[in-house]
Order: sequence, then structure tokens, then C-alpha cells
Amino acid sequence: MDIDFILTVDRTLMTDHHGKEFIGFMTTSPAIGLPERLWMWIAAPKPKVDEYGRPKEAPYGLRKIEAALIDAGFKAAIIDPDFLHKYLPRAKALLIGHHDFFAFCAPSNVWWAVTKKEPVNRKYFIKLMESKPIREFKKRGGKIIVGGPAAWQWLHVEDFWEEWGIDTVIDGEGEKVIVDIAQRIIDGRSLPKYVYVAPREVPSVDEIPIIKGASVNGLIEIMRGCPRGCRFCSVTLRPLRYIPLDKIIAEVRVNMKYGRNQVLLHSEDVLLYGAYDIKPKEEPLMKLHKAVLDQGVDAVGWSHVSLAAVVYAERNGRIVSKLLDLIFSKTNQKFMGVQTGIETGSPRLAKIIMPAKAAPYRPEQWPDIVEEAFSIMAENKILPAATLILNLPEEKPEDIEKTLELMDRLKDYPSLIVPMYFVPLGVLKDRRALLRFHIKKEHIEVMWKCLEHSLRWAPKLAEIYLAGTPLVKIGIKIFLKLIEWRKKSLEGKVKRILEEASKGKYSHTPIRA
Amino acid sequence: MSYACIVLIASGDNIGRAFVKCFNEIRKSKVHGVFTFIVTNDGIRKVIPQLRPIILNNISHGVSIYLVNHNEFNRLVSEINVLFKQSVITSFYIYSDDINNGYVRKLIDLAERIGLKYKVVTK
Repeated sequence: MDIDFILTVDRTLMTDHHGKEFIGFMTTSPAIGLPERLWMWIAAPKPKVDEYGRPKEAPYGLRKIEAALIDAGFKAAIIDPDFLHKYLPRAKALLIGHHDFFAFCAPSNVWWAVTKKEPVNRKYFIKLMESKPIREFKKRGGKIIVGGPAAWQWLHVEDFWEEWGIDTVIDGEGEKVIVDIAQRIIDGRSLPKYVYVAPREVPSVDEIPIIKGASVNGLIEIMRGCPRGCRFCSVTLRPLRYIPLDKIIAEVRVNMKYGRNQVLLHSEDVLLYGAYDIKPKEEPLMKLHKAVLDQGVDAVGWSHVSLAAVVYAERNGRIVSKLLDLIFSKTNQKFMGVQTGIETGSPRLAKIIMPAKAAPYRPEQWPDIVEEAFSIMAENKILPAATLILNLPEEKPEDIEKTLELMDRLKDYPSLIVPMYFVPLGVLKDRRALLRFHIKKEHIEVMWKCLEHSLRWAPKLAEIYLAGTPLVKIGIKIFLKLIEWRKKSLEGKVKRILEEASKGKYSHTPIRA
Repeated sequence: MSYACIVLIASGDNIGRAFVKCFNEIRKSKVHGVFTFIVTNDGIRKVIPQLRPIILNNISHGVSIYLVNHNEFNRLVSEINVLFKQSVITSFYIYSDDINNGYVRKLIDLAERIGLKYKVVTK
């Protein structure tokens, strides 16, 4: 097979996580309590590949870039990292897209800061870049282009950039610009070292291509952008676009053609599909779900929902219940996992940092909205993995107190709550200094409470969530037992960290000053 | 969409200062983005830390940054020519530490020859 443009990524992303998207979170951490090989087998098993080394399922972002290149007439394909040596000797360019190249994003930064060990996503990416096929490819003048949601991280690692000979970093939606870059490579023209795609330059709905092969766990994008304007988020900078139903269904069919009968609807806020507002609307949501279910899929999931949208949708026409009833009645699905953001329990901080997160309700009502949404999700068999953000700019100790109070209110709702350290993105992306941080005493209290909450619910959630993957379930259960068993000794360690933290000595410094 | 083109002929720590100066000009104009060509023999390791603050501070303009070695100057001239012929760039900013630099003269000649509106930004 003759390919000019090879798309790939390291093993932590070139995997289907056993068909369980949430297991992907394990790739943001170092191996804890288990040998790294076992950890990687649970978190990121090798995917099935065809005789050419093309994975049966690949990350959605890579699929979009592959589609843009193929539509423009280039010879491009996604190749599993274990098969690169077969193609790189003849390829013109290697394209790598990643969610978190250097583990600067949350929650990688938390695990790294607390354990003082490199998370596996960073470790495996570095290993990939230093592998023999890539080094030899570079030596003979091959071009390396990197991009994806974590492209911003290259601006902070100029040493790696130079050492590995990265030719171009594309920061922003890449479907249009990659075609120009590919043509430049074919024509032998010079390449930009760095491209930032501004909000005004992003592809329109018509310019977003349809994927050509299956995406990991059937993920399909239904929207781009988000209207909530949270200051810590980069998605909100991009214009809001709803992907038309015919394009969504075309991608469902592509996935089904390759045997992936699950659909994971992806948006920063699935319930806002077709709303043209921050108030969910029943009609476009029902239409979307009916159309997807009519294809005969086995399961439908949502990637993210906002808690305010859950509350508004349920209060106004029981939309959440209707959607879940529809999904459960047409499939054998018994529950739905979803990611959501609590971020803070403090209305004061919510008002400053994410004033529209509670909309159409007021930021002052945020803790009540969160609890009501958790209750609605529990009633509808939605299992949330929720995030909290620590070290937000302008955070005060009393804000953390409010977060701890809110966590007490959530303790009886089945869920995982994951603490994350603030990452300078969105309109706050110029706060580079915040990539380095001191872990404060009060942050440890939140982390400990999150651990207690998640340990309380994880065994039950693992039982439901991992029902179809018995070996993985055993692995996860061993891991949870180990953590539970080590909790006593962890308490001693946490006390020591607390002491160091209160003296400002427990710090995380992934970049140079 | 209209784009501007910046050519910076600067060295050492001056690259960052020159970029700020030119970028401020861009912000005043109505262009959507900017192609920046930095004529230097320095690598990414030296250049990026200088450009980083302004790149991170900017969310509204598209930015493409090229590093051009001194011995590749002629390629830069033809690149600008192509971008202008394709109607991608509509304005042109030239900065040089040394205004009497021969490169500046060549760039002005190019702009005048092809009819590209230009401005020489001074220290």
C-alpha cells in the first residue's frame, strides 16, 4: 500500500479501551499499584488492525484529518504505531494528533503532581517520538506535523520541538489548514513552524468532512463550540456549529460498516444539540436520538452534558427521562455513563470564572443545580464522572470550603468525582505560570474527599459498567482492592504531603520558568 | 479573508520585541490573520520563548510563523510572491534591526514591483 501521509498516535490513544471510554482516564496516570504492562493492558490494549496495519477503530480527530486529506485527493491513512516501520521509509509526512502530548492537561497533571511519576500518556508519546522508525524517518528528511487539542503544549516545550525536528505545529481546528500543508509538502514549498487557526478561520459545517473509517467506541461529533463561555475552556472560543443530522447518520453508518454498533454522541453539552440557546429543546434532541436508533445501533452514549442543561431539560418537559426511556426501550442498554463538570462548589468563584455555566439559572444557585442534576441523573440511570477544578485563578480558601460542602451533599449519588488542576486554556491561556503550581493544604482535603467518594462508588459502578468485559473487571477490582487496602498507609503519606503543602513545599514543575 | 504578511529581520533577543511591534500594527488593521517570516539562523529553542507571550495573548488573529535561514532569503521572496498572487495577503510589514540592510531594499523592491501595499516598521 502506497501512503504519502501517515497519521498515528502512541498506544495510549491508539486503542479502544476495551470498548469502555471511561477506562481511557487510566492513561492519564502513571501505573499505580499494578505493573505498568498490566496497567497498559487494562487502559490501552492494542486495537485490531487489518493486514496493512490500519486500526479497525481510530481516534476521531485523526479520522477527521484523514478524511480531509483523502477528500482533497492525497494518499493518507491512519496506521497503528507498531506498523510505522513498514511505511515511514517511503512516506512524505507523519501526522500526529494528541489530547495530551506532555501530560500538562487535567487530570494528568494531578496524578503527576501527586505521585511524582510521569503519566503513561506522556511516557508513551516520548517513547514513540524516540523510536527507531521515527528517528530514521526524520534523518532522511521526512516531515513531522503535530496537532490536535493539545497542540498548545508545544509552545511550552521548545526543547522537544527542536530535538525531534517537528516541522509544523497546528494549533486549532485542522481540517482546512492540513490540506494546504500537505500540498506544500508535495510541492516542496517551505512549511510554517507554527499555525494558529483563529475562531474566524475554522471550517464551516459544510467544510467538516465525513470520517472514512470507524472511530474509537463509535464517537461521533454532533456539535462544535459551546455557548457557555467558561473562562478556563478553549472550546468556548470557537464558533458554535451544529452538525446536520444527515452527516451524523452518515458517520453512524460508517461505524456500523466497520462493525462498531455503539454510538457515542460527542459535544461539550449534548443536551444543547439544535438549541441555538442555552435552553435544551426537545424536538431536535428527540429527532437526533430517533434517527440514530433507527439505524439499529446497540447502544447510544453521551460524551458530556452540563448540569444546568440536565436540570432545565428535566424541569421543562422531562426531556432527560424521555431520551433515556427511548434509548433503553430500543436497545439492551441498562445505563449511560457521561462526563460532566462541577468545577467548583463556590457560587462566588462560579460567577467570576464560569458565569454562564449555571444558565439559564443564576450562578448563586450553582450548588443547588449540581445536586438536582445529580439526583435527576441517578433516577435516570446516568452515571456521571464529574470534574472539580483546583487552583482556579482567584480561588480563595473559602471557595474550597464551599466545594467540600457540596461534595458532602453529593455523597449518596452514584458517581465518580475527579479533582483536576487548572490548566491555562481559553481566554486564560496566557497564564503560563499556572502550569507550575504548589499543592495547597486545602486542595489535598478535596483530593482526599474525591478519593473517598470514588472508592465508595467505584466497585458498584465497575460491576455495572464492565459487565461485558470480565477480565478487565477483575483487573479493575484488584486495583480498587489495592487502593482500599493501602488507604491506611496512604493516610500517613497524605499527612506528610499536607505538612509539606502547608509550608508551600509540595510543588509541580513540568516546564521551565 | 484578508491576511497581512510580516517579515522580521532581527537577531537574538530583538526578535520578540520586533514581533510585538509588528503585531500591534496588525491589531490596528482589519486583517483576519498574519503570515510571519522571521529571517534568522536561530532555531525554535531560541525563537519560540520570545514569541510565546504574544502568541498566547492572541485569540482573535490566525497566525502562521515561518523561520527562514539567511541563505533561504530568495525562497522567502518567491513565497511572498505566491501568497500575493493567490490574493491571500493584502498588506506587508517589514521590520529590520538595521534599516539599511540589503534585505529591506529587496523586499521593498518586491512590494513595489507586484503592487503590494507595504510599511517599514522601525525600532
